[in-house]
Amino acid sequence: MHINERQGTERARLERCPKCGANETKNNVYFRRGKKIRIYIECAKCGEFVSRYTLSGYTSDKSYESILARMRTIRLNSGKRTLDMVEGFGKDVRGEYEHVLELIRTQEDNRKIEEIIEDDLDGRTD
Amino acid sequence: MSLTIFTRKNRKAILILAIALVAGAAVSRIPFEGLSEAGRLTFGIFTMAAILWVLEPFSLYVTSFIIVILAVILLGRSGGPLGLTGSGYMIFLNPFFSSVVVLLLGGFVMAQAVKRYGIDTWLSRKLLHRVGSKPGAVLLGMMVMCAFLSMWISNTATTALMMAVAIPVANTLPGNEPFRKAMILGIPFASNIGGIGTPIGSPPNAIAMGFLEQAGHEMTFLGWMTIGIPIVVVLILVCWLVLYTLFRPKIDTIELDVSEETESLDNRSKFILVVFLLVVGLWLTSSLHGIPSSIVALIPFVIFFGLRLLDDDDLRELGWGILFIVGGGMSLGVAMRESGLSEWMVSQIDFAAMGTLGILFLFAAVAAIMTTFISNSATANLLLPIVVGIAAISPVSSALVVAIVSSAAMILPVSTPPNAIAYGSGHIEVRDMAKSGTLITALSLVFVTLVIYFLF
Repeated sequence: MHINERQGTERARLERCPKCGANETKNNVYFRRGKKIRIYIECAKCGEFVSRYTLSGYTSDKSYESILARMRTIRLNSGKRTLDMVEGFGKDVRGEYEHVLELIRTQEDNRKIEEIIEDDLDGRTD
Repeated sequence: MSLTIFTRKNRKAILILAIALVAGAAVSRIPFEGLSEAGRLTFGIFTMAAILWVLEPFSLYVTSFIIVILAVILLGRSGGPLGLTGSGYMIFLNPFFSSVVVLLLGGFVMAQAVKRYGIDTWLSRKLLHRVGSKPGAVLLGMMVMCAFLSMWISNTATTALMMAVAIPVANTLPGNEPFRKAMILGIPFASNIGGIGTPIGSPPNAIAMGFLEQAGHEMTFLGWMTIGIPIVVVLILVCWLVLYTLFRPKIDTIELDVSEETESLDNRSKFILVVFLLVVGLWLTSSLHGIPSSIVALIPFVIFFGLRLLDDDDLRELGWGILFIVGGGMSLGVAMRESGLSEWMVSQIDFAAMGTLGILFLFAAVAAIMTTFISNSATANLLLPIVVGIAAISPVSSALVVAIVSSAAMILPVSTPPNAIAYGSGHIEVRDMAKSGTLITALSLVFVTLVIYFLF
């Protein structure tokens, strides 16, 4: 989809420390068998707790390994659709990543992340 | 991510839907001799469903509901050509919660629990470190593991799990080492084959059981496995032999990166394993205790969700789309049976003159060709309502041949989701898959047809 079509319906912002306002953060990833993976975001400057994310999907720069992990959580019945997903996976993620960086550079939303979730996404996080 | 409705993909989907509807309407207008009005209308729905399941303009389960909508409006409404009244149209909705759909649902719940608590990973690590380091033994060990897992969890999940083990090893092999291809191809092929082993292993199995049940031939869980497991064992050996011969290793040893010291299962995982074994035990002994397999399938649902071992997220991930595909296929089957279309279709060919073996080979070949290009569930949905109506042979034998061959055809990356995953690794080319897959598909077709022929 062309970027212009998305404008007005999408938001992006850098997450910042509520205490010192720094945008340098550390991701502390918590694994526990049978539970969803959780990521505790820590301020890299002052060590304050910033936020916690619950992981529903994971994509690294090694996109094939990421799609293998994704394939374990979904049930597919069509070889065509699976092939589309496998072939498009890395490209889609990389393309969206570049787009998000551009959005933050050009029109970062300055509201708190919880406000964006509540106001624009009706509380939906996934 | 899509924020507009009429994207290029959706415009294409609407166009294909329109073509399918027009083609269906055109077919329903042809005055076929001996076919009632209800039969003609159903032929139109069948045509439309075939186009949509072949071209896949949208997910296969969407077609399932289009079938139901059209079947109720054209056939099942009060005063319609089937003569149904009141809630009579429910015959098209009932398949969506039929016994085989519930059986599959139970299987999906168990698979979800096994996956969430890492029991599949634990089991694969526990067993794979025992396969040694000879290339042939490593390949066979991985394939046996894939086949076993895919009897209980989805073929796709099995492939993804085992590819994660195989890829790091494949990456360490020299660039000109042919055995790398055998390792990468062995995983999806074995997952496809393993799915044949149990009624819950692959959707075509459940679809076949559903159609047989509709036709008054009940097949038990144990009954299916008695036929399915020996076929899986033979096909795995055939597949291994083909891959080992075509991609003979130049190396003498190969090491899987699987630690012998695996983390032990915690109490929740052990509990899940016990429930899993209990449910499988009840499935296999249904003739002794008389509890239908579908009702047994609800036990893990109640236990795992009741004890909060699984939650709402797991419920969402259960593979509802596949259940709807099965329901839609069986709903189409109801329409074909009630309207007389199945009977009319099989009466157009002199099957009796072909002999039992000829009929089985014909439908095995048709199933193999179809499922090379389209989903194996769609193949089963389109062929089974026809084959179970052939009076010249036992419906059990024809349904088994179609269902099993639908899972055993694996020539192209698009043939099955496991094939697509393996192809996406970049370690194999289409011609590698086509060369080995064609040979295995052909051997499977002949073997399965002959086995079923001599058994029934």
